Amino acid sequence: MSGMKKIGSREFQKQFSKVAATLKTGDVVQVTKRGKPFVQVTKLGHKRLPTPNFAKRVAAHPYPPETGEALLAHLDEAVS
Amino acid sequence: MKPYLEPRFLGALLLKTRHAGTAQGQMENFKAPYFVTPLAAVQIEHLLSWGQQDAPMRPACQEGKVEWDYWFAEGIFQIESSDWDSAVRLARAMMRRTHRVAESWLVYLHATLAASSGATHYLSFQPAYRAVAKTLSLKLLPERL
Repeated sequence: MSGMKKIGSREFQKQFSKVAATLKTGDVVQVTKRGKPFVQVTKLGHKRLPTPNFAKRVAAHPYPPETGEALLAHLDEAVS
Repeated sequence: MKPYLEPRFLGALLLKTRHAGTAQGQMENFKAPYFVTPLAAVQIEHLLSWGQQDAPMRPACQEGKVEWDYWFAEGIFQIESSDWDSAVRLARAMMRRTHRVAESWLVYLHATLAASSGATHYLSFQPAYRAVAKTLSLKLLPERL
């Protein structure tokens, strides 16, 4: 937790907008009162999901690419 | 930025094809989760079920179904409800004013579903689908085939 930001309660009240603007999702700010930890504030938000590796998974499939392509070719045939 | 995954592109994320690497590269332009329309979901699920009746296709269908279920369970794919009325109205209007209508009506409906859902990019490897999406000012990916 050494990277946690600390700020006095008075400064936190006065500078809230500025402090909030510097936070990234998941960042925690410890607000102190008379020099001692008083409350902690966590920036909420939607964490970005890592890009899934579709290609790696399908590469392990036990059939040749031509089979997958032949199968997908039926997508339009089924309705036209 | 919001991508619309045309079904055959979507299929390239689920099945082994020569497009797998390109499809992966395009997806890295966008944040997950990725929305899937009910229409695309019906097409993919029908394909994967129908294909199981054909012995040579069965392994691909089984593996594709595993991928499909896995990515939904992971929250990577999510079904997004569609504005069907707007999409159908726009598709009909486009067909009426087109001189050479494409073979499949899905070409129009997927493009108009993309437009009505607020998609910015249309991901497809199929020229006919891309051509219609382009007329609706959707950005095409990959940029070139």
